[in-house]
Amino acid sequence: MTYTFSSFLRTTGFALLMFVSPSFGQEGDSAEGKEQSTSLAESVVNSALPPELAEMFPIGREFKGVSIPSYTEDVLKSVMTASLVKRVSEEYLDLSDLVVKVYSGEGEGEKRTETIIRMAEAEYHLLDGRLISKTKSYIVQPEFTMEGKQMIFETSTQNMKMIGDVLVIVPDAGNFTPDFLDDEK
Amino acid sequence: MKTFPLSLNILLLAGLLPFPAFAQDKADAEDSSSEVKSILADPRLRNMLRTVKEDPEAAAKSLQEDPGDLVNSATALFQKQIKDKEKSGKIPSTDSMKSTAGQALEKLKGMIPSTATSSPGPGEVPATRSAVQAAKAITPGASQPSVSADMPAVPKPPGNTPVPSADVLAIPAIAEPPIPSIGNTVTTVPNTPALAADDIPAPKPLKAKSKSASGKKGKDPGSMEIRSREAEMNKETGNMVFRGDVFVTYTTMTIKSDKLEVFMDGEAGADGLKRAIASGGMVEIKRINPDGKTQIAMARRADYDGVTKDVILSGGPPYLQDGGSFVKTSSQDSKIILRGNGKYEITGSERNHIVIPMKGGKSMNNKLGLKESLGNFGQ
Repeated sequence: MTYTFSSFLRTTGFALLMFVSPSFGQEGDSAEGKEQSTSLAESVVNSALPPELAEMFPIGREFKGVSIPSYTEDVLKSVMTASLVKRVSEEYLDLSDLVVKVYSGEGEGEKRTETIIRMAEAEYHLLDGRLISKTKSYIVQPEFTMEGKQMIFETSTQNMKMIGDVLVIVPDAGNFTPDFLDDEK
Repeated sequence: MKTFPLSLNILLLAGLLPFPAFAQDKADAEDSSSEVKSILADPRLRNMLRTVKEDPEAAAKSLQEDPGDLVNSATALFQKQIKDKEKSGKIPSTDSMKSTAGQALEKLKGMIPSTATSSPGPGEVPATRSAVQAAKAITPGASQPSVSADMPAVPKPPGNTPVPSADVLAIPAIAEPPIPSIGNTVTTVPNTPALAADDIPAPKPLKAKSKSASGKKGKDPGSMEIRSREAEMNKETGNMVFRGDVFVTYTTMTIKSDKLEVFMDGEAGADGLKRAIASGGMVEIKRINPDGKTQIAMARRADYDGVTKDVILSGGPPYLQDGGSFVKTSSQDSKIILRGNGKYEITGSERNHIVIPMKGGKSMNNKLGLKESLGNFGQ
């Protein structure tokens, strides 16, 4: 099941940014039609979520095999896949087997893969735009790999925080070290 | 009138007087005999009396008979009595049968050998026959229990081996009656018609998962490991901050600190490290040089420049040790600059303490001078 929203995701880096980008909410007209008694949280969610996505992820429904790509000027930027997505409330999405692949601008196909983020269980806070993993998380880049017990990703600032038993492995650290250490490799 | 003599009258009276008593005794005797007949008619009492009557003879006879035969005869007698009573419809009471059987068993206990009557131990099979009977049962010609082909076969002696005599066979049977045992099991590999023996691939030697000499998993010789409690990364700039028990390992170098900030070159296309700052607590940098000497640098802060490859140690004051040589600064503003080429510089407002051991021991008159000693320092 693949959803394509190229018109909404042209300016986003991560696919999950589409959930919190304020510009999306401003473009939608569905929030304006809501009743005045709508709670503040609901209004924020409605303004943050693209109306189309809000309709596609109603509360309580489970979606299996979700894959959401994002584009930058018709170039695939990232693809988020999850075996299960469930909107548990107005503010939270539960994701299982989440894999986010971020592609670079060079090369073709999988060779363009720049960053891979993997986590077995995660929740996404729609108001804060925060992705919090519930299980061990991995980040794989060509320069390094990182793992930790929990990962918090701020989609708005693209800052990532890994908590608990963090391990970073830099495969080739020759460029990072003094020259006299290179002889000891 | 003819009179009888007095003596004759006395005799007649004496003879007549006891007559009623005699008649009364006879009637009582007839009543008692009828009562005896009625009691004996009771099968329970009759059996009891017969058992008591037969016991002495049976006991005397059993002394001369085989205990096994005695058991068989007692069993046959018991079964016969049961059958007779079943035919006659008179079922003896359970108590009388128990008492009879109990008496017979009590007598047999003294006659049967102790090996046959001993109670079985834990895990043993209780003896159902006397030892003598068991010995007789396995003598040649006697009927043997049928052994199926599935049962474990007892190894047979070779054809030329003489068959042992009955006496030889009887001796071990008295000690331990033959009990069928499972025997040794043979594990066989099931046939795999789809896979021939030649098709099974030979086991391959295991390959080392790590190329590093230390044997750590997933660690290449040129790789760097950074461990910490927390880490933050800015996706846009690529800068990273590690906090809490930061431990860096790279080849023979290790860095311990509380905080490590890594600044990447933000320019497009740049793939190098711009700057790294280790701070918090006392930063300890340890390295083992190719000569095997341990080099230790300690300071409050270690600033690494990714462009010039220099390491600036400051605060603490900084301290540097290279094997037996060491540099100790005394002022807080002192700095030890480790150049990328392995040389070093010391700056500060106060005097620094440098100790360089002289080669050749304590003697100052040796041929090795300061030049040779300094040549190895900082390499």
